[in-house]
Amino acid sequence: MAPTTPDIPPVTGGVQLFRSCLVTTEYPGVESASKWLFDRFDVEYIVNPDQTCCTGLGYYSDLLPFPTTLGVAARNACVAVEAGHPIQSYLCSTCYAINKKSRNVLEVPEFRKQTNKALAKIGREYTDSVAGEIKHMHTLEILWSRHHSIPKLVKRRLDGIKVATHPACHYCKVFPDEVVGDAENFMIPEDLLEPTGVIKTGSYNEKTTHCGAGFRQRFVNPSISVAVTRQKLRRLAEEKIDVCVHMCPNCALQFDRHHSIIEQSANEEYPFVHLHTQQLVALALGADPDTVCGVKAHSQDVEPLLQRIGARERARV
Amino acid sequence: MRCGVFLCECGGNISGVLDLDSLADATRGSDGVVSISRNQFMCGTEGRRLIEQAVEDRGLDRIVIGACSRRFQGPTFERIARELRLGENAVAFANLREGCSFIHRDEPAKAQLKAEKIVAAAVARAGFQSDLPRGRTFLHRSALVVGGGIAGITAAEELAGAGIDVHLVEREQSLGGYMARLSKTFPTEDCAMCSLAPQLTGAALEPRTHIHTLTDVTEISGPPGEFRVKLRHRPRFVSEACVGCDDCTPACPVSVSSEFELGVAKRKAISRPFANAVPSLYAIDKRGQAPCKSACPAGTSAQGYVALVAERRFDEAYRVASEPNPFPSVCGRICTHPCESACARGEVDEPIAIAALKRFVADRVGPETVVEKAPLVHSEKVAIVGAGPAGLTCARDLAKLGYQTTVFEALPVAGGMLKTGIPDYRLPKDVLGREIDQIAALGVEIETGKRAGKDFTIDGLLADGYGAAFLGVGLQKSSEVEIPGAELEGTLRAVEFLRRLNLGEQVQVGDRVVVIGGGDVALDAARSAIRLQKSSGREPDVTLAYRRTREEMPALDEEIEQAIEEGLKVEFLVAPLEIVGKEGRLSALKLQRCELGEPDSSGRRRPVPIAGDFGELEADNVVFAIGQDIVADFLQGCEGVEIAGSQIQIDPDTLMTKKAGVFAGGDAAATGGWTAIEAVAAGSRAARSIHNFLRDEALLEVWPAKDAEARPSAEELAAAEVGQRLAVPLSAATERRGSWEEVVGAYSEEQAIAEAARCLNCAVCSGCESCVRACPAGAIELDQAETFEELAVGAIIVATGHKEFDARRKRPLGFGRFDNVVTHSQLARLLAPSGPTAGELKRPSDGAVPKKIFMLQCVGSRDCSSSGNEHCSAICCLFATLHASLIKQHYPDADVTIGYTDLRAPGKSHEEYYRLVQERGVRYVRSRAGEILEEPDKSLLIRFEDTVTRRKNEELFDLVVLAAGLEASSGTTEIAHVAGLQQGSAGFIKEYHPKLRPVDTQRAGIFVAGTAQGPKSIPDTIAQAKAAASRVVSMLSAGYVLTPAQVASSDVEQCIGCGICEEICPQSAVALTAGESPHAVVDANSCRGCGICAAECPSGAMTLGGFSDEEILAEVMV
Repeated sequence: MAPTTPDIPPVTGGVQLFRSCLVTTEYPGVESASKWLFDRFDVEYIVNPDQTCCTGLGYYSDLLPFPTTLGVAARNACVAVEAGHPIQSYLCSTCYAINKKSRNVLEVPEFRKQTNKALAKIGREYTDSVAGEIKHMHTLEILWSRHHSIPKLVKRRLDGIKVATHPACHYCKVFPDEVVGDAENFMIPEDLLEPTGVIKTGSYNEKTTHCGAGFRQRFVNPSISVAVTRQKLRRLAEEKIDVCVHMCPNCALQFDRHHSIIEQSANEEYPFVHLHTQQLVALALGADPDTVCGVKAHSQDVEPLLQRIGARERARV
Repeated sequence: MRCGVFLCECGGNISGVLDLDSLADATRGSDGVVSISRNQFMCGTEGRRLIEQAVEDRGLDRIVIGACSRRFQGPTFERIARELRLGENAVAFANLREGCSFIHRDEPAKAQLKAEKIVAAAVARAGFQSDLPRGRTFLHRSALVVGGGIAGITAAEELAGAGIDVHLVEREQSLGGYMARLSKTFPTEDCAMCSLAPQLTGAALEPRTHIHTLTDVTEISGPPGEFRVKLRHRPRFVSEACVGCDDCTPACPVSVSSEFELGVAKRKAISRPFANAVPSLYAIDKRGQAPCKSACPAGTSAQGYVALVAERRFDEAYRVASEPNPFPSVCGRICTHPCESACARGEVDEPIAIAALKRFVADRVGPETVVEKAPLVHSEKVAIVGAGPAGLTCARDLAKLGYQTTVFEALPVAGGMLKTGIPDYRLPKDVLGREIDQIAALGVEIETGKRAGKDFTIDGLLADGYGAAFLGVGLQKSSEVEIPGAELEGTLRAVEFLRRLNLGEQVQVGDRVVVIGGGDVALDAARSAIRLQKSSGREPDVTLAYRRTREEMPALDEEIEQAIEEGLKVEFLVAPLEIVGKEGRLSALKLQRCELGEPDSSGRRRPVPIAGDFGELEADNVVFAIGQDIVADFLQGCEGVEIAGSQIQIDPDTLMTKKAGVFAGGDAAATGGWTAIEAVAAGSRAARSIHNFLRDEALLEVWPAKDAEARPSAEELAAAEVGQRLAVPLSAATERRGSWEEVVGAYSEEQAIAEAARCLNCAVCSGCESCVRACPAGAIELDQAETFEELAVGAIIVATGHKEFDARRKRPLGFGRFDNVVTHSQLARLLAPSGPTAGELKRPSDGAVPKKIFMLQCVGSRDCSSSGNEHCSAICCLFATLHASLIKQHYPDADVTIGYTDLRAPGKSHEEYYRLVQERGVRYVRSRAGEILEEPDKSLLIRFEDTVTRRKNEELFDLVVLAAGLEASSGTTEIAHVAGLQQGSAGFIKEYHPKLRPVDTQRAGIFVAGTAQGPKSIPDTIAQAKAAASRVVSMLSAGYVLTPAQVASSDVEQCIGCGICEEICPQSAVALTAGESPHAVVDANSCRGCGICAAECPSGAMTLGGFSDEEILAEVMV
């Protein structure tokens, strides 16, 4: 299956890796694998200590008012531009969507004015110049922009490993027209992995169904939340995949932490594991499963997969 | 100036926002204004009377209309001015409606101020407006109608009825368009074909209608009234002699998805879309040359014989395979099969096993084929030197052309390298012998043991009455080896080694053999050595030493793999340095280790020695397979033939050597690679060239012209189901090591048919000529080519129709992925009595009658996402209602649900029809399902919310029908580009004015009708087609047209001839004169007065009538 994702102009630098609270606390390997890949793809980036939380979890859980989110987004944009790294590279689709949404709202004069009133207290302003410079990209988009360098970097072939993408709703559905590729059949994760020899799934039943997390739904309506996750797990199992690849820690968390629990309670088997796309690409390119990909943070046992792809042999990097 | 200002209330549209009295007061003092009036409708009779009165009473010479836009009502007031003898350019417009009252409704004070300015500006410019000259164009009383659907046919009928000659152009092979595909039409549920067929027949019989099918409009130039139109007629490959007997379609082996049946059925490469098609001629879908045929040096139609094998028609397949090549059984085994490398199926999964299929069919049919002696037609004899594949093919083809040919062969056996170079385990000698016998049976004399230059001479043959000679002498010796020790005992040369072996000599090899080289000859030598060792009771020890890597090895992949399985050891990146001897006999081979450097002239990376890195292999024999040379003893007594670099020098166009009448080909005079199939091709070419030489006339093409290569599109490749090539049987490596029996087995009949069925039929028509043989009327003309025609017409109607929205773009709906998701157009074919199921509703996955059907509306319509269209496709609600009704009537137990967004049923009797169908038991649910899921039994799960009851549903259906919306057809987009027409949303042609000139386009003289303009029903289409025809009739009936007043003109003195105007004019109305100092000339008839040229003109030479600098400055300086 040839790649269906269109090529985009290569991003080689000016990137601020936008740290995500969920990635940092739940799956730190996603951040380290992304950095590891940036280094190999010759993408110049910084991690900016001035960057703060996107507030997306709070906002989407109806805990924070939007003006707060807007102020934080405007400030994060200012610090990225000040640091000369205006391309915000998101590891999390929540960060991606909330910042893009804020970008749009900040084009409305009264909201910009209100936001700048608050920013003035910390000596900053979201100006036309900042608005013009700041760019919002999912980390996978940046990796895709450099995908031509992958084939020659492959150290561990993933021949015979079948992967399916779980597309993140907040990447694909909030700004469908800005998705790189087909918003209804998002393929960057599988297209990135193609040179490693994986078997791609492409479209499958309920590919666009969400993970079930639903922000506060996970906590206030757990039965509905988990029922959706189970439905998606069943569909993925029907495709006989080995790995479900993710692009959002919220989804990965919902699946990885609930996978075995749902299997037991439903008395069903879903014989596959969950990894972030960056983790699996990095593994194929020879990254260390522990120090780079952080697989020990996963609830599911990914060791059989690592054995199968030879990732427990000494890395030949 | 004596100017009158006339303010229009526009029925409150203007006066509801603007205070016209106050506006009149503000205007009253302006220079030149002598009269101000207002009226409720200035464009009406009262308004006209007011203007006439004021002109008469006040002696006006200028009129300012404060109303709507000039585009909208300009012609009304210009006509009044013309009739009052003021000249139509005496009118100036102040747009108070669109410019003020419509858009500043909420700010009346500002609107008032703006209105005052606009009126003042119009008054100011009016003073500078002068009369503009207008010319006349006389009209051709003929019209072009583009598109042969119901709109085009109706328009053509109307025009012909009015006595106008019509050229009806259709890109498909027959008229009928989309309507011909429908089963029934709403709301009357009458048969679509019953309405259409009489129209089709009428068009065919009408003498004033000239039908051009398979035709594209490639250019439209000239002014309205005298358009010049260029047409490209694509070949039908079937002549008018076709009687429509249908004998050809059973004969055609190629089946592809039918466009007419919208993919729910197949058609043959030769076909007619439906029984009542006009014209009734069949047509062949020939898209060029399949990649396999292009890649074959001999031009074999592999697609042709593969298709025939798939149809179990082995005799015909053998005919196609053996016509260009007398060695199909041989080539089925040993050909390098470039056809397979080119095979498009390889882009989907793996190439078709073309060679194995050729072998299957040749082995099966060849032995039973009786060859009769070819009749001698010509008196000249031809001598062939060398009985290899080139010589024998040349002899065969010449024999078929009617020449007596004699083949002289130096060796005691015929076959050349096929016989002496290829071991039995790859090519059994009886297979080769049979094909040589069949050549001889044609009357070809083969004299073995006759060596040219020794037993006879070429010059002698020519003196003895041979009219020409062909040299197919091959490369019969191994290249010289130039390393120390090459002369030691135990060193062997591959060509000679294999020849001795294949001629039955007793050949021995030692315990350790090293073969140097990486080509097929090296592999043959190595594998033969393995067999010699094993058959003498030793464990094989053969090593292949090659300078590059596996990737650069020229030998076939399967050969390398089989050899390795048989125990061959391979040393890559080593070059022989020296043969080490002991007592005059070799004992080892010293090797230089290499690495890969830059690519050489062959494109392969060059081996570069690694300084100081050597190796050694102990050996009893070293076989050199590093190239071949010509044995030039035939030159004795052959004056004038030259050799350079081991190749006989030939003219590549004719294959003739420097000596007239002596030709050469094959390995000794290669024009391609040194392979058997290249030799066969060269022999064939030489035969044609010799025939031309002997007849002294270019009767046959030596290098037949190749059609453009036909490759399936990326979309077609993506749609092909991924499968697997069927492996041919292969004997076990352990068994074959000691055996000379053939290693590769053959397909069984069922395997061959299954493998052949994988073919993608790239060119559709394979050129197998089965139809030629089947046609009793002799109507097939495979050599037809494109032709071009130029017409002069007065007017054009574009009726190029629509296409269905590609529902695959709404991926979650599963169209194209799930068997039982179809569109309404496809359902129409499944319900049509003339359709593939004869009107029986069968679901595609298993042919069962679906019990539960869901119709999902608004697919790609009323959809603001990037994959859909915003517009309503207008017909889908009723189309679904019609189909639901038909299903309920035929299958009363069927449960039909229509999931609609809003039910839109305007139009005569449509709402009543909707109510009737509800009463028939069709369930309408206001919902919009977003995803369709396929269950393992192929039923379809849909979750939808009834937004009236707010109830959520999750139901399984047997069949889902998508109401895919309408978009402009590709033909509409093409004609828009060719004619310079503007396209609106979804590509539909934009009309000049949506209300007042709904069938006029932006280009004068070109009109639009039917769904090319926008989605509409059949009655609306017919009405619009008649309207367009009426516009053409009224235009052409006048006999002439006045050129527009506001057109561009160029000042010859100022024009610098830069050509910018010519490039940017959207109407192609400006052209540069020819000659040394070109200048721009405007065709006033074509110019639409847009002014782009005047704005872009760098020298100021171009001006637009009615927009002089004075007029514009007066207007803006107010």
